[in-house]
Amino acid sequence: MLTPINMQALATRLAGLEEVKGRSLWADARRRFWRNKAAVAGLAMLAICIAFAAFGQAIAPFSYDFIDFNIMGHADELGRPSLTYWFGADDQGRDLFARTAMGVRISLLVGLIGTAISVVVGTLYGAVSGYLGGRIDGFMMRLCDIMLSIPFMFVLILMLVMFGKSLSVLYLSIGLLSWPAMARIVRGQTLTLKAREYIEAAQATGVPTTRIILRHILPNLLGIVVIYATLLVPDIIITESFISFLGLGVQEPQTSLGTLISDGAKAIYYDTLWQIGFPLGFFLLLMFGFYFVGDGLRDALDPKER
Amino acid sequence: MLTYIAKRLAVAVPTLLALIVISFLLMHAAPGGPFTYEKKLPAAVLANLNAKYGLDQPLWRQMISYVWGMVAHFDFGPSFVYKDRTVNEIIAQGFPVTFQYGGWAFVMAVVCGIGLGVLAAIFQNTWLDYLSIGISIGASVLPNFVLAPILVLIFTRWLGWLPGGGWEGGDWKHQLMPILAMGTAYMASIARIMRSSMLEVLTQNHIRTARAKGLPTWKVITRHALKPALIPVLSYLGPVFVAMITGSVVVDMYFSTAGVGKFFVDAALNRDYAVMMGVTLLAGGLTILFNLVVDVLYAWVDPKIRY
Repeated sequence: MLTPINMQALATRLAGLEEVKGRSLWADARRRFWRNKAAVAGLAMLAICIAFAAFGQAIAPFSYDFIDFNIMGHADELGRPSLTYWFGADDQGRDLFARTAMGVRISLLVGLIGTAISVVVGTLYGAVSGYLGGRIDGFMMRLCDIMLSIPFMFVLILMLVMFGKSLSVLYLSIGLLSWPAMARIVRGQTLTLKAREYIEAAQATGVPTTRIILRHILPNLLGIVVIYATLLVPDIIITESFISFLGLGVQEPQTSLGTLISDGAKAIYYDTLWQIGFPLGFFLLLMFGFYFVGDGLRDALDPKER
Repeated sequence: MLTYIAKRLAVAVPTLLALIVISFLLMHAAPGGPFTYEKKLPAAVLANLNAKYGLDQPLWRQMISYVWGMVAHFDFGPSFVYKDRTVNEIIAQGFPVTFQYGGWAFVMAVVCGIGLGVLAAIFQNTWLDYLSIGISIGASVLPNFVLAPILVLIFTRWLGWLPGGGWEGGDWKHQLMPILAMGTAYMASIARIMRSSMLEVLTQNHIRTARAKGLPTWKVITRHALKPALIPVLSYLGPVFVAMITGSVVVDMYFSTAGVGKFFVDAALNRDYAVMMGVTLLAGGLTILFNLVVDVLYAWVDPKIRY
């Protein structure tokens, strides 16, 4: 029987309880991820790329803009991959090992920074839109639709031409143009989360709104955000490479994978295949790496798959 | 249905207007104009040039006259760089070429993608399935600017079968590599979407019924499974269409086909705002129109959808 005194005791005991530590979603996901061979292989590919981007320029015998005038114009004979030029040299006589390392670094940076911007903007926008609902939601999503139906690549090129072809403009404009897809995903997830019993329970027990969002909604959004962020990075790298391939992105003597592939693609008529082979190899390594890791994360984190 | 189309068109108008305003403001927020050359022009010449192209008018009036020209006469104005040509002429020259190879690439991506996806689903977990999954994973990480040089290397440099560039009035040999370069990655994505949606449809009750009454497999697929399985593919067609237009930028640069992408990149490098805006707006308008067509197709494929 619950007498008022018992109730009081129960209430004080309940109030004094620490939050229960459950088996977290993330520990679960981690276990599932490590069991997925393709995902681990993808992670290894990414690790290789990141290590190469971080240390490649430091261990390269030449700097990325050093020009060897002996090789200039004779890359097909003198610029072959060798003990001095590990990845060969391009037709301007520059070391491709250092340049590829720089290219991987810049492509990775653009991918990560662009994704970070788009994740922050998209998650905030989507969560606010989904949580507030009603007319505000309708208006915010209509704006999203308008953004999505604008030909992204053309506007991106427009922005680059208008504000100058610099790296920071590239980061910003890619990030600022690619958030609507993320916002939509986050909004959808927020809507389903809002209707869950545990949110209702939290509301019923009087947990303040900000705490509901922080403790219950955001952690549950995190899974889907991480998955789509991982899949967004290669997308943005492709976008950046596309732009750089056209000569509208990263400017000389700096370089990115797109610029290197573009140079290499022009050089295939002169039989200097190492010029396209090495950058392309790392590009594919990055793409496959992110693809497999993203896929593995989806399997590990997607609650629907249990 | 008609009211739905009308409603969608009503939404399309503000979308286009937003696109116009955004690109217009971007244009004018930028430092430097189309007449900023390395050698500075005398002030009087610059003023005359600006007056000729209406650049000395207040911003809102420029915008209104631009929109009016577009709506009333379908006129995108003069090019700032090619003195003797209008944007209309440039678009009229470039778009048919883009549409020709872009259209073929679109058809290839859709037809081959659906075929590959259906085959993979019917023969699930056989070598055919693994082959098509392998192809689609491999192809999905090969965007057009990567695939184009690889194709040229194989078919032009090593085999010598195909010319490495040029258009020659649309000779099929010149079209083949642009089509492959543009369509392959999207073929792969469509195959993947088609496979998973087909697998899902094949587990449903009406398929079991169709099988139980003794229909041959090909008939089950074509008459009962194909239509419902196509729905997710349909929703992907919009992005594919956009990609065919933007992809022409790379194809035109690499294969020297004379499509609209070439003019766009030239305009971007020369700060020829009028051409850039014309192409962007036309691409945007086409995208909106195409998405509308896709939505109408939805209703045809899925009778559950009512507008």
